[in-house]
Amino acid sequence: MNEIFENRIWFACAGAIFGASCVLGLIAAKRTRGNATVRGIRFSELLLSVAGWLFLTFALGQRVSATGHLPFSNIFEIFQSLGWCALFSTVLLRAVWGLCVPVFAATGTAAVLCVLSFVNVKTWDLPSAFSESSIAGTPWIELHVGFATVGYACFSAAAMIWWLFLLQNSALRRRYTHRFFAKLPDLAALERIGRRLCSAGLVFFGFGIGGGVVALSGNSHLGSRLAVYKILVSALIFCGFALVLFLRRKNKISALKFSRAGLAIFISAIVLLGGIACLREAPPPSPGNDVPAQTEEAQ
Amino acid sequence: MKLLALSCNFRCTQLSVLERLSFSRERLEALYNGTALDVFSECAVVSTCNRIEIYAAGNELSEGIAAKILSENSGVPAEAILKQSEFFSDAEAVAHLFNVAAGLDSRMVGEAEIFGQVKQAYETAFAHGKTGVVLNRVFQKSFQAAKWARTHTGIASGQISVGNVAVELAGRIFGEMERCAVLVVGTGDAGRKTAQAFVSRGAGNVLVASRNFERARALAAEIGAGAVELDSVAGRAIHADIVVGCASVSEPLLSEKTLREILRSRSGNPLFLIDLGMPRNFPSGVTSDELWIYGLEDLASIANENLAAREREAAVCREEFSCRAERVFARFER
Repeated sequence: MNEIFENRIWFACAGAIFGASCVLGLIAAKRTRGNATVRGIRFSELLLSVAGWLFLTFALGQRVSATGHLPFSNIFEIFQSLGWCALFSTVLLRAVWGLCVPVFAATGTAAVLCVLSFVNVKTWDLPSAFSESSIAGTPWIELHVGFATVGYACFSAAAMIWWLFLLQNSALRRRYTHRFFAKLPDLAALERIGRRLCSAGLVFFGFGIGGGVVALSGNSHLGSRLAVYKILVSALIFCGFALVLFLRRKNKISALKFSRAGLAIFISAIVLLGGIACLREAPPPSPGNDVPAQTEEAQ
Repeated sequence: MKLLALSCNFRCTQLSVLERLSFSRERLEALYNGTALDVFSECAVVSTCNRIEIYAAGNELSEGIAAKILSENSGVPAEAILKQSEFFSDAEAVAHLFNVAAGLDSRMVGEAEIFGQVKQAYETAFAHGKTGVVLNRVFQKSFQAAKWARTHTGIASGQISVGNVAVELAGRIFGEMERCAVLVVGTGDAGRKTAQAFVSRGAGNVLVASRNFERARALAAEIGAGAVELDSVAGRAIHADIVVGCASVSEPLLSEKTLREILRSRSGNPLFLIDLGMPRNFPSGVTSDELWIYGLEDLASIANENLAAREREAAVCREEFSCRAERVFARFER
């Protein structure tokens, strides 16, 4: 398993490049003079963000070839994948909805997720306990993790949008007129796309939860502590997003409250993911327990 | 080879004199086709609503000759013209042209319209064979300088009129103006300019309301909008995204209670109120996540901040242009 831990250097490089790209983007956003210089900074920012994304893609590819699994096996991998999705989603948002998300927002998100993934990496970067887990030969675990991760990716893209909404909203309330704020997307577009991403996230996440329940019940692990925790947390997150989305669609809450609530739920979801790792670190059950901790899936 | 620029502009010339000096297309044609300008080796006349300027190149130049030409064409005594004009020579004349073309010398610093006007003036002079090596080069360099200023500095960034500031803010809330419904209450100068700003930015549906319905109709016809009665403002505001209040009223157009009802009826859609009235056209005691109210002082403050920023950029540009002008003129002296 040593080769898995060596490719962390690639992940770290990608994270550093994202951080540098984000800093350049913020510098360019703040400048009002010398557009030629700004263009140079923006070009460097774009170059670095592409380079970081390629580094990260390569690192994830290395991880996949080393483990034989999609890079959703543990929290470290999931955070790195979410960072990859944050960059990818900016391209998708522009292509599909014409929304120009500032590059520094995506690279900043990716850098933060990278830093988070390296926190307590020993706990998080453990190999998957399941070498295979299938019911009637179908890979339910990876389906579950895949859908759940895509769901989280949608939520993380939505979180980025909600953060931008709060920024623009605050700037307008405080009468900030710096060019930086004029270049942010407008409130209407941010609100609309945040809703769509949340809806998409709920669909994928819902499938992920369903797949997870099927996988766990198929392996008779539903009663385990980790399983209970995961189902509870997932259901809470799902219900939280579903509730705020429902309230927003019915105009029971404003766009501002929707963004705040959505962002708060997303941050809570990220924090609660850590709980899964803590539960995995729990001491093995005493002899006679038929459900050993190692057989539970690592996420 | 010497260069001369005689400038009668809004800063140093009385409006009445400026109006008399102004060249219509026919008068300009007659001037170029006549012999008055033959005293200069090269010559070009720039005539806009804010300035009349003569740029000339030759060996025997004086501002008196240029003033005499303007006097013969307008009937304004040459002495009066000289008293109310600015005179630049050689490198300073080049720098002045750079400043004019880039909009640094305009009423609204950084405005873009003057660039087209200077270009048009040069093309007219060129078409009549009145320009030569010197003015051709100087004017081409002025166009480059103007483009440099717009791309490399913040000379054109930020809106500096209240109407355009309002439109820019609306863009940050709603995005595409095509989907926005705008209701303008009042047909005074502020209302007219703001309505025009929204129409020019492509606002989908603009309505004008006034106590005097005929005035509302006249303004609406002028700018391509619709007219409504003042009584219908409260009902229309439910469906409008942006309401501009610039009426002279003793009480707010909408009471607090009415405004709260309007917000409840709008199904959570944002409402942007622009209060340009004195006294206030909208109540200040209503707050909501979906309500945005900007008053005249807010918009004026933003416009002034942007103007100050442009002035700072203009100072940078002037310094740069001064150096460029020296280099351009130095080539003629070799």
